[in-house]
Amino acid sequence: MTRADAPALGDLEIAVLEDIWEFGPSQAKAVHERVGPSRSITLNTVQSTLERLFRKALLRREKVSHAYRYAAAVSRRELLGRLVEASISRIADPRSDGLMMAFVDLAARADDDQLERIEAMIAEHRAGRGER
Amino acid sequence: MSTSFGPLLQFALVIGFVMAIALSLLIACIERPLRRVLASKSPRQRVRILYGLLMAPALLGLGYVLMTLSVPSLFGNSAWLAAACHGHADNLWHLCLWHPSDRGQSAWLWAALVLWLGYAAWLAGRAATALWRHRRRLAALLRLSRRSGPAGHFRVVEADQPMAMACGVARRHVLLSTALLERLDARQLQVVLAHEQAHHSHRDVFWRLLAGVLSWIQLPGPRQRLSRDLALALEQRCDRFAAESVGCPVVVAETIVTVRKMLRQDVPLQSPLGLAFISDFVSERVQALLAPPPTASSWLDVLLVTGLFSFCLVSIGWLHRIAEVLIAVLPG
Repeated sequence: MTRADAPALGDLEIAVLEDIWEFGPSQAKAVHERVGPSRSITLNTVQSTLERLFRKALLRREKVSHAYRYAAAVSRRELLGRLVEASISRIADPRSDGLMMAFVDLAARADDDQLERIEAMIAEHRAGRGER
Repeated sequence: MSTSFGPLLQFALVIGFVMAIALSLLIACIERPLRRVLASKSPRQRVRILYGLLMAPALLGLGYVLMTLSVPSLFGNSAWLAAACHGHADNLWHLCLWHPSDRGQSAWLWAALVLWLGYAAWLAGRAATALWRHRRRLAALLRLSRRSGPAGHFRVVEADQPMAMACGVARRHVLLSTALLERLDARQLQVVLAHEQAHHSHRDVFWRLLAGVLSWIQLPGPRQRLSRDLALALEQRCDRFAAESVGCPVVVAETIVTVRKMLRQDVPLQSPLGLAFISDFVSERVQALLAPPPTASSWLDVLLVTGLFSFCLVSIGWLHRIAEVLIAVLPG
């Protein structure tokens, strides 16, 4: 998966992922016991959520006896990194909808020379004002 | 005198559409010299004017549609409006509310209007789908972040990429990544937070989104250039706010360069074609910060609003005539 296809995730998907990150590889039944009661959801819902996360390549699975055991395919930090990069790429897109305003937008691809010139300009300005 | 709804609706839509297109063309004609004049104005004033330029054609077009539809129901029995209408050839200054029904309606024009509205709906649907996908991604990011700051004011994302952004329309948030928090010193962090808070308090995300949607009726070239100028003006306004907050514009300029360098190292970019479009923001923002802030007040926005309304007022006559001609020329 590249950062461009960082997945869109629903609340339940995030809750299930967080559960697997916290408790490690688990079967659907165990995830349901931990996540289900507070949300009043059935085992089937948890199973289909796990299946969706597997299809999004965020979980991997292996068959143990008659059931699948799911494990995280990406770490929390890795997933956050992808989401951050997808969001920043969105800002850089001129067709961007303006949902976000970044401090330094990625679109500003000043090259090294340009950045050096800008730094020199700042230093000159400081010198002109008698600062450090 | 009564007006049946079909012809009146067609008349109103044609008038609104022609008005929006006429204003878009007018803006396209004055855009380049106006942008040169705007360059010397304060970011705050530029933001106001650019929002106005981007949204005016759609809003005034819509205003004409609503006015044409509502005025007959409000003044349907008014003798003087009817009289003005019958003296058509000598009266340019009226909305001519009875003629649409006299002329009937054109099936071809309806087909064209439906096609155009369908295209607008398709564009809106496409944009809404993309927005919805993106919103879900952003929601995931927020859900996985933790609250921080004095009143849970901003959210921290554990990520290796430096990031600081204001996001959200109804519920507004400022997102900061741990990479950024770890690599900036306290004063630089204060700059970033003040800058994002300024976006937050001005509701920039909402207004920019609205301007983006309403400006679709404009010609692509002017729209892109005005949007780009707006994005820059918004950043410069927040830079000024941050400079006032830390008491030194040079620190803001240095922070911009520092964060820019971090981004160069850490985030490999895709779609360079899209990025080339706004390639000089860092330079422009730094230069604006190092220059003395524009202090002279300008009447440019008042002048533009007056000009715009005068144009709308003067346009009532010819808009009516164009609408009539279109309805009459195209077979009914």
